[in-house]
Amino acid sequence: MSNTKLSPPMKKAKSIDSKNDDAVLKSPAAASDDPNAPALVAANLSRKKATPPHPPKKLLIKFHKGIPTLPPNFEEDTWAKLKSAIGAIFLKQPVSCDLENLYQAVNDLCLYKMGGNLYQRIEKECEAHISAALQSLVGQSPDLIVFLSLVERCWQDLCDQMLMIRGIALFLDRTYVKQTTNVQSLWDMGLQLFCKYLSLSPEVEHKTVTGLLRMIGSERSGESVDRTLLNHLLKMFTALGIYAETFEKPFLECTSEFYAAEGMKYMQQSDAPDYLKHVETRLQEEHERCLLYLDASTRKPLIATAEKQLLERHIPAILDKGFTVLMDGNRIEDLQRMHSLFSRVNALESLKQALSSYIRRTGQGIVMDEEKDKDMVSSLLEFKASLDTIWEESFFKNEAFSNSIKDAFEYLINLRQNRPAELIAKFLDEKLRAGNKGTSEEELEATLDKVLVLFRFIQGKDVFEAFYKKDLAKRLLLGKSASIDAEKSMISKLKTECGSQFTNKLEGMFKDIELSKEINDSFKQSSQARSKLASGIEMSVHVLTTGHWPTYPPMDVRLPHELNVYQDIFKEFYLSKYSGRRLMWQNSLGHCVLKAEFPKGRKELAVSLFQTVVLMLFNDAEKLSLQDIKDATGIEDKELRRTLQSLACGKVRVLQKMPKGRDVEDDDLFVFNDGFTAPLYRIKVNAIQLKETVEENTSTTERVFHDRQYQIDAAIVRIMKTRKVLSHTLLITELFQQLKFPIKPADLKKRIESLIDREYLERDKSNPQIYNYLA
Amino acid sequence: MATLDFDVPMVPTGEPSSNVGPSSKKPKHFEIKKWNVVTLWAWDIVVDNCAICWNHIMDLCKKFHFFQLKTVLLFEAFRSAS
Repeated sequence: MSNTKLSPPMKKAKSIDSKNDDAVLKSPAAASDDPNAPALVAANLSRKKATPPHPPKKLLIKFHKGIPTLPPNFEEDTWAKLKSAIGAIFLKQPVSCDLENLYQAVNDLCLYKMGGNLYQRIEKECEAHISAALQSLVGQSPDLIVFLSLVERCWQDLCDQMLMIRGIALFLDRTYVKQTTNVQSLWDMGLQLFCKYLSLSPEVEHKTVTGLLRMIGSERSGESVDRTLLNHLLKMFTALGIYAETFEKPFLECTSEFYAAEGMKYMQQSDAPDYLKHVETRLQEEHERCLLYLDASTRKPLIATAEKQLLERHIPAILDKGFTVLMDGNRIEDLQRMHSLFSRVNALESLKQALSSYIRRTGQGIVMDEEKDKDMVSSLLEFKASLDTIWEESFFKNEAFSNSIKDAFEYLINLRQNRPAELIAKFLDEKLRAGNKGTSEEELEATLDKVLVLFRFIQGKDVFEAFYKKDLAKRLLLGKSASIDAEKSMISKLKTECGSQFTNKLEGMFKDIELSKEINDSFKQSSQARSKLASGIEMSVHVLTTGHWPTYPPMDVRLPHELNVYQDIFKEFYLSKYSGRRLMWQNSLGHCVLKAEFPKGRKELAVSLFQTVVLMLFNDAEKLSLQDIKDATGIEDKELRRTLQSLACGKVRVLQKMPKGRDVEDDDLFVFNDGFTAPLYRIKVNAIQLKETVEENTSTTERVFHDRQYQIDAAIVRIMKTRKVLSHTLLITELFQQLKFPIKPADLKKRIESLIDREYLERDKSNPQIYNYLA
Repeated sequence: MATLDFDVPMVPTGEPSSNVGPSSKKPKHFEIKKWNVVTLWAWDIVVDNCAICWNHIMDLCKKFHFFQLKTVLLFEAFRSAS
């Protein structure tokens, strides 16, 4: 428009100039003197200004001359010039006319509303050339790399050519294309034509794609390829708008096939960690491929395809093949990689289940191997510690995995009824006992915390309590506890874990011990002790509250006279202090220190009360038969045989048995061992342990079962008292909810029958499946 | 006893110095130095199990058992008074 506006003034200027020339011509003819010429020119100017009527006249004159007309064949001549230039551009020949003139030519044509025709002519010309260029690729080199290079050059040429043409015809793009709907820009038109003729040459298109896929395949196989070439050609597809359909789709299919095959092959020849390492490498490579030459939009489906073929379909095989090995070997890094890769394909659930199965299987080996009971707890602790490390470092503290570990451990600990609970109690006993001096306080505390984790998993916690209590009793009564602080710390932890009712009796045990010290101190100061006790025996009494302590079998024994005296005096003292009570002596728990005179040396013996009672008989007799000893001591037969065995058949032989042998027979005779020798002054004569332990364990277990019956009864009564009327099924259901230890329905049935017998419950008359509560 | 019998004839026939030797008492083989005793205390009543929940009277439900125990003791006291 501005040009349009500019043009007329120029033309007018020319007209004016020509008129001026005429005026000048006239002026010299009229004038005869040279000095007058400037005056005449000045006169002309003043006349124009002075005489306004003149311009209108000139304008009228101009109009009369008529509108200027285009030269004939203007459009054709101009197009011929442009066509020649476009042809030269496509043929890479020098353009004869300068670009500025060409640009102006386009400008002129547009101004005269000839843009439409021009656009169509340009399009037709481009189409001819582009078609020829792509056609020239048909039947070209069988070498795909060479072929791809040719394609790339063809494309690059097109870009260069279209840029130049667009430059020349910029005005056309700015005006006609913008003002007209459904008309592409020259650049877009060029791309569209290239795309059209590419698809019209399926051989070329297909060969290009094949070549690209082949190159990528080569790179995946470890060969180096021309990435720049790949980049350019893929950018071509993107620019043409056919990337997704023409290349990406077959590329993803090809990728799928490639990795499916590779997955199969590597799964066969690699172990799991190497395979996963390979997968990780491959995924990284594909990621880089997207950065280097693939379109960004390909990254997601590409990685997904690779993950699917390398990982997803092989998850079960990977776990079957390698998970156990990695776990057994504590392969933190490999498991870490496994977790990371599995999370990419939503396979953490499979990994979690594999973990659970592994823990159950491996743990079962620990828990169920009866020959290794001694090591069960420490093995479980080690196992748990290594699992926790793996959970923290390889599984990134994943909550679901933590729950998996917990569930699996609960399964383990309760796999074998009662025994793990018993062994955990024994393990704690070992740690809390005085001999355990290799451990510092901090280490002991840490160990207690770890054992507590195992304890948490026990379902039959009452079994644990019973065994813990029995061992605690021994530690306290025999003075074998390493640290009272540690003992109380453990009780405190158990209390936190299970509530005060669970530890109520255990705490009572400590109170009894402390109270006993006070009682002993009082007793020594008492009038009874001072006035009546003969000197010589140092007596120490533990007064225990019934119910706080494990149940001990009552053992009758005929005490030596001097001990009887002491016992009676203490009893008198105690009952004067606490009325309404009675004392029950636990002879099986008593122990003594004896001074022994042997011909070959004096010794101090640490012995049980039963051993004491037997040995004291030999102050008054040289030789005694089993029956003699039984009559004199009143000790029960089995216990007595065990006692004599410990005195005459063990490592320390204070007595001699005739005839010699391991076991005590009915007709055996016993004599004082005159020849007794020992390197140490103070000697502990051990009681027979193995059988005792087995028997104790069995009776402890039986006692727990017995206690459970009471708990079941109490639960039944509580439920029925609340409900008044309840069906058998619902009662059983509620009992399972309330009771924490393992139960069998048959046992519940027995307890219900027992309560019916004792008239707490009755069967409903109309429906035998319903129970009524009786007040 | 046999040993003692053996000693008796020797006394009248033996020399006075030998009389002193045999008559000395033999030392004891064993002498008790320390005695660690364990005893359980319980209420001096006949009832061992709770009549309500059949648990041992020293066991669960201490509050209830204490109340019950108090009742029993009062009863015993009354009976002994009469």
